[in-house]
Amino acid sequence: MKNLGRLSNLTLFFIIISSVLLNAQIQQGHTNGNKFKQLYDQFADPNKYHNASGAPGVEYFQQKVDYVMDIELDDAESKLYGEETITYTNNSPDALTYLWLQLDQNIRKKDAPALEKNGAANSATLRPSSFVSNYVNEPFDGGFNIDWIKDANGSALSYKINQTMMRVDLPKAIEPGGTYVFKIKWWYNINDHVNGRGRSGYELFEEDGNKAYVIAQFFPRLCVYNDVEGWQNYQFWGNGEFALEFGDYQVNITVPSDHIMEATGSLQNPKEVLTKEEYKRFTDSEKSYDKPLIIVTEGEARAKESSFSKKKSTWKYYAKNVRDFGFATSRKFIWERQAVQLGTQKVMAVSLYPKEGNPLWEEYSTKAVVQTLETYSKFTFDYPYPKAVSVHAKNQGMEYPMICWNYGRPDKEGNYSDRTKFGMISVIIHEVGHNFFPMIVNSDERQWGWMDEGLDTFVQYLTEQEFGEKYPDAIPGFDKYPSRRGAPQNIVPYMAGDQDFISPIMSNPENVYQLGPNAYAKPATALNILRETVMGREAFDHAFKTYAQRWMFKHPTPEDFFRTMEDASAIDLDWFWRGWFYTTDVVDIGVKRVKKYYYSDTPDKNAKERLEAYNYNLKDLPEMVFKIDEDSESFDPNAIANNSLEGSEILKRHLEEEGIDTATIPKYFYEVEFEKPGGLVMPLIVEYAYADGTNERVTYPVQLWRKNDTSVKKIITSDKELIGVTVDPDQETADVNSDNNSWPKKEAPSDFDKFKEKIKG
Amino acid sequence: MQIIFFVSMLFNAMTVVDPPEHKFYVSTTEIEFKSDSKTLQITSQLFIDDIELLLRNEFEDIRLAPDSNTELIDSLLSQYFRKTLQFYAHGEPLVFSFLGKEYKNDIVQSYLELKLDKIPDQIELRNTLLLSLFQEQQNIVHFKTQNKRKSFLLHKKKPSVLLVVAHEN
Repeated sequence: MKNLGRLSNLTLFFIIISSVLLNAQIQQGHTNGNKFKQLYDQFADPNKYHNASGAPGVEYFQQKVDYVMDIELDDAESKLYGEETITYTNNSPDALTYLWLQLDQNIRKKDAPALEKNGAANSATLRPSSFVSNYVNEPFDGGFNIDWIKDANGSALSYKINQTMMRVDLPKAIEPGGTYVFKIKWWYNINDHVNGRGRSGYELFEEDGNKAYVIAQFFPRLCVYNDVEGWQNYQFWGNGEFALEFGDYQVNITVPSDHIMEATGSLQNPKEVLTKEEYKRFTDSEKSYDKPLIIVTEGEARAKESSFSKKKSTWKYYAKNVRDFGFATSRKFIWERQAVQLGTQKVMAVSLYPKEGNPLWEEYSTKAVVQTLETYSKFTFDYPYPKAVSVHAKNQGMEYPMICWNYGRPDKEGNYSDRTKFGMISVIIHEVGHNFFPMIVNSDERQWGWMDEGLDTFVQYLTEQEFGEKYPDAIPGFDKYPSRRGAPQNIVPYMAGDQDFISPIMSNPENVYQLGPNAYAKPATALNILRETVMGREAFDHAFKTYAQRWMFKHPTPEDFFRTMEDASAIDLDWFWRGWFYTTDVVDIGVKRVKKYYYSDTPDKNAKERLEAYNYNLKDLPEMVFKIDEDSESFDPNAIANNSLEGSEILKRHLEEEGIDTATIPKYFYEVEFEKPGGLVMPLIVEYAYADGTNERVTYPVQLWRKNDTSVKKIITSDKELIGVTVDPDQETADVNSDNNSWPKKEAPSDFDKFKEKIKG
Repeated sequence: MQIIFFVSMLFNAMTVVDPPEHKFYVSTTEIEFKSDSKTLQITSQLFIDDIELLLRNEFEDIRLAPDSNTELIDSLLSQYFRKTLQFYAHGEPLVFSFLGKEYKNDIVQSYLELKLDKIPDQIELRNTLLLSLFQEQQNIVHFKTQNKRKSFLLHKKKPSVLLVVAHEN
């Protein structure tokens, strides 16, 4: 309002005088605590390895580790034997005198410190089965047994095991650019992953005596050596997952010959391990683009359940540029494959499940895999591996390159609830999605759980929504897929919870209270809000894709993500990262009051008192008009019944002199005060409602809060009477308290009231 | 790794080995004091999997779903809340009625109504929801009175809280 600005100048003088006089005492100084201050004090400095744009720097390096392995499963004794040849390529600028390897299985050793990492919570009540597991059962005899470690010539190497880490001492340092070959022979007892839990192990089906194996973290694996951590040899305590180097894998796995297997990598010898019929279906499936082709049917899998072949088969896999290797094997498996075209690349979407997964698995597993490959590729890069496999394992949700284990099991009669169905579709999307984060965009999970879990849960949400749109028949009774995580309102209960039990997202996974909401839901929701409300889809999607493509097959840090999102969008986000990722602050923004006002030639009581206090006489001052607020005793609601200028002859005359048409002056003036009890700054989204039934939506930039973190005023001028103000009308900011979101105060009926009303009728 | 919903074997385990990311054990109970009607409106949210697991102690095949035996489930839930959400004023137990429940995605939301004869200064709440099942169970309580909201986190070591009822002056 141009005209209004000029009129206000008349009162400016008065305001300046009074504020100068009031600030006469000396105040304490302070440092810069502004929420828009750049994050220099939190971020690692950019350098030659991770540059200031958030991209790999000019001297970025990464080690390469190739594995050739012969693995054998003893199905009867549940033991796994392996011999591996490791080729380590030192691309770092440093000479290495020893190598660190991860022995993840050692977390299952009888005396593993991880067993004692938590304090006891001795329950008042106990189930009989728990009594047995607590007080009677022998602890499981797990962990790696290392038979020997030798160099390429067969000479023994010395090594030292420290819990889940093993240092192999080298006779001579590996110089920069150098390569070193060594071999390890090992075995371990495979655990029951259903009773006792674990990311890997077997499930025993007591009815038929068969086991279904999902095997991972099963071989000594090199730790990451990089410019950030040196050796990343932070022990495996169970929560912080993995940090691994890329390399090529040749793995030969020997199992009973009636088993069906899936693994990381392409099967090199299908003709040797499959029956003629299976082999034909296997090759035919590579042309089956519209639906999965069954390689092993349920009937065929059932028929094998009682046979327990004594013969053995060796399945040979080759995988290029992967960070890990996993496999699943059982004679119980049903197997299906479907081809998906992604850009120039053909990918096989694969499902592997025991009959216990049906009828759910035959209906939804491969569909979910295909959807994941399509949606994730759209938001990141075309999926670069030849296949993505979803394996059904009870209770599991765990990811490896090209393969993952997923839960979702109907009851014995084959019935399942919506919960089981959506849980299963969601976990498949999530775990297959992990191929992108962290299998390809290879962040350090041991240090930062949110970098893969949060980003993955975010794209999972986008994928679930697209799945719902593509298969409306799969979501009867819902207008969109019922995603558990991603929608802003869903994170409110967590963020509004007791601060004693909330950690910032930027915390090590071992040290947070609730890893689910902390590393999965909150970062996913933050990114969703960033996309929908802060940056807009176009800017966000471009920046997010830039991050994914910059760090494909590399090791990004949190700063690389934060910096790239800004670098590719020209949107300063330090305030967002600080608030959402480095603190546990919450969003609570509201409307505090709305005051109608007009201008008058006569001062009200308040103005008179102030003039007197400073010894001013009105007639000595230049001509001015006085703001009369709604709460002033001089306020007359009828004073401006037809025109906002009716209260002031001075204004009317002034406008006339300036040649301004008084009809252009808005009729109503309002001062709207917004409050921000919450610590987070966010754009202020307001809907103004007017007496004529119209609404106006305004989004004020977040920068509105940069000079006052607790409240801010806006002047609204209109020809229509303002009757309502609503903050965040679409609940898109995760505002934890909606009580202050509307003027006049509106109590939305609680769920309780609504339910009572419902049961009354 | 995805949070596991179908936890079956973690009860009271004193030693948990290599725990895959299991879900977070939490319930939320919203209590609103309505001075005009002298009632506490209680809205409780429990994960269906958790409460289902617990009720299966008594009824092996029970399944909490909209198409499942409503009468039986309501009576079991009602009994369970009586055992695990206990309100006292001046040391005397207060009795609520179970109005019903709704299924919301993976949550069952139950409604309880507690009518007060006279308004006490404070009410003690003992909340032991699911504590017998999960050692890590956390029970969040939001108490709203006269538009003031307070939140409490209850758990095994601290299952009780005093709710201070604000009077109208």
